[in-house]
Amino acid sequence: MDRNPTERDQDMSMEIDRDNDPLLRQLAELPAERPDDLTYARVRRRALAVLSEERRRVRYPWLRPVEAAWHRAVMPTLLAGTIGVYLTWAVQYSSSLCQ
Amino acid sequence: MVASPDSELVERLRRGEEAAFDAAYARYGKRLYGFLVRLAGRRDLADDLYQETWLRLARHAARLTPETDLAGWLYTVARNQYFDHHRSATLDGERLRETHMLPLPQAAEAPDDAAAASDTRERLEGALAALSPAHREVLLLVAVEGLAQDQVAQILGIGHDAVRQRLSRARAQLAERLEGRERGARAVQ
Repeated sequence: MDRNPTERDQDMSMEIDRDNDPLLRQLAELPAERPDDLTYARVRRRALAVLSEERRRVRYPWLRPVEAAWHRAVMPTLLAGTIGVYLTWAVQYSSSLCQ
Repeated sequence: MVASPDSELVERLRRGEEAAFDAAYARYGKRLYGFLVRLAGRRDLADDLYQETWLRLARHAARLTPETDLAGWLYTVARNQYFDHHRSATLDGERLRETHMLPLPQAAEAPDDAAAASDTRERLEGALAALSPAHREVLLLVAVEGLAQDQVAQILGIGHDAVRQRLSRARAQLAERLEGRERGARAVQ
């Protein structure tokens, strides 16, 4: 709804003005809380690594489905297969010990 | 449409430029951390939320639009991260309290504790920390971070009038709590 200029002016005057409100000014003057140097540097480093990784994915868009297939299908299959082979061998070996 | 003040920076971020990311980090990093520390009330939590916010920017930089208000985007992600954590922590707390594994919240601090916080700034910080997260965040965004109410409306996902009302109520709550602390401090003296 389009309000008339008088109503808009009244609204603007009801804006809470940080500079003219003593309590808000006190808040504005609170000392800044800053990260320690290690945290600041660590976060920057990790984020830049992610940025570089994302840039690589944008440059080589075929990489994303390949990586997804690797993490979701190939690796779990390899892992399950390895565990299956080991368990089979372990059962057969322990059976042969009991004979 | 008025270009955002960081439009050139956003354009370079979209291209994945490391120098642009560094510039954004230098411009907003420390401020964002200060916002998170006071919103979360804990440095360890603020550290995690801070990291996750910047990792998100790194992951989504290519998907920013040219009109993105970078400061607004960062504060939006940061506060959303906090509230997601707060929601799950509140549910966990309720579950733990139901199983009697977590004590009930403590009552308001005794006058002896209030006496220890005689400094005006400490009382203000304490009163701010005692507000609800919704009230605390609007005061932090407007008063401490100095963001325009329009920008705050976008960050909070509410209308301009709603920001004004929330800010007004938050300010009144803060004044009330501050008065209570000052009374407590005077009573002990």
